[in-house]
Amino acid sequence: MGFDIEASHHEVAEGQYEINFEYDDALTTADNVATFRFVVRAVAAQHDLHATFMPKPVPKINGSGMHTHMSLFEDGENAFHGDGDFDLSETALSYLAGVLDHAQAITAVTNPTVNSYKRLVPGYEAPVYVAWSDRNRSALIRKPAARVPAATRIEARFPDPSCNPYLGFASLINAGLDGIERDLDAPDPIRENIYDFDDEQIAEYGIETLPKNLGDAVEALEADEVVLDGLGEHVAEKFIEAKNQEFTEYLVDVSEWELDRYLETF
Amino acid sequence: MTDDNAKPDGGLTAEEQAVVDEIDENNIDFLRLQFTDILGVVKNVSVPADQAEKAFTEGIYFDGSSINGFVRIQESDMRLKPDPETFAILPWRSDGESGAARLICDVINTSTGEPFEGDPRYVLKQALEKADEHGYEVNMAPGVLPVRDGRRRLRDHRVRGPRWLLRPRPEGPPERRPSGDHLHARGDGLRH
Repeated sequence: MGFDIEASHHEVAEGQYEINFEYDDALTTADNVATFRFVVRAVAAQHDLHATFMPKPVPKINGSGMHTHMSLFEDGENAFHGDGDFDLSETALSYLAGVLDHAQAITAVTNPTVNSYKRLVPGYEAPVYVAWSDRNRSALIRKPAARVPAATRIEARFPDPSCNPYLGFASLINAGLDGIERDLDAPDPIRENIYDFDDEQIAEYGIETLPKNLGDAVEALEADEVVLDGLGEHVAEKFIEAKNQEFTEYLVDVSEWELDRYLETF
Repeated sequence: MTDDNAKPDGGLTAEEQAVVDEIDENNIDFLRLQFTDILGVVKNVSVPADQAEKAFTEGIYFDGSSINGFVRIQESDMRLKPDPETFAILPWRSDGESGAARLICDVINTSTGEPFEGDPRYVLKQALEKADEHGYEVNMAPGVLPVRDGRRRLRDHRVRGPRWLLRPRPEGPPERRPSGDHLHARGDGLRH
């Protein structure tokens, strides 16, 4: 129906499917993600199933992400392809550095629900650390292998499908362009599994972690002028207001976990 | 209501005319005019397909104050402007005899005739324009991972333990769960 699904396969968690979209311009892709969500639900409902894009519907098994592959093209050529390590250009490395630099704030937009942060925990193939890697999936950004120069790209592994794709993509792009404008240098890639690092190693490498919850993420967003400017005053104000309210509601709620844990103990 | 950007009747671009032709050829009877609220919930305004020309030339007006994160009641007139490039037939609702198609819309502020700055699609367009100023075109592809599962099984996860003695789990069919898209999809006749 006007967009091409590149591949679909079972994922690690039971009942989980990955659907990959073919590469397209960012606006078309965002349009298609928005439509895709309601198409999947409608079709699942016809089969008496409920398809969910909730990031972590079941504890202790892998959650659902929306890994986002991206590259910039200039005059029809892939501006991310270069002769440097990992076939990345200076442009790609600065863009990547920009995304890492603004990652804490972007997370509020790309991972905008209370539940999003149940996915961003170590051990379930979701990223937690503000780092990049050419191989390891524990990093925020991965450089996937590419067979041809046109396919050289980076993959942001933190977004999840509860986000507004338009706002999520816009925030990634604005952060990346800021990296290019400021000519930022990317840190060295981390090639080890960061999940295995102890606190000392994490400190030694200077690796920051993503916000631990929606409240922290919104705070980071409020402090990030580039991402805020990208959203525009109206969207930024309404978004922060809605998310603060959502997080407060969650904080004052007494969860099932708490009742299980404490009700009969005390 | 001042709305200078609305085109006069009959002023279809070639691309818009191509969509109108395709609607005829494929016996499309309903159009889902789609946009998202700030939280990313897909909103659809369904119109009979014979409104396509009017949708392109005049736009479709709606009450923006009913949309999460849009505007207050006193400034609520908004206009949907369908983007002809986004025309797509919805396959599971179309059999050649009748059918539905989507068009994604930009949201226009009717008091200025300009794009509404609270429209998420406009926010992305602004970012792409900035990239364009640097000479770049941005390409993206997501790998989206939805969890698909039997309804019963997902519900099973919610009924474990004694907690519902104190706090009954939400009753009602799964479609009553807070899932905006799904509710909406059922509400406008998406299911036969």
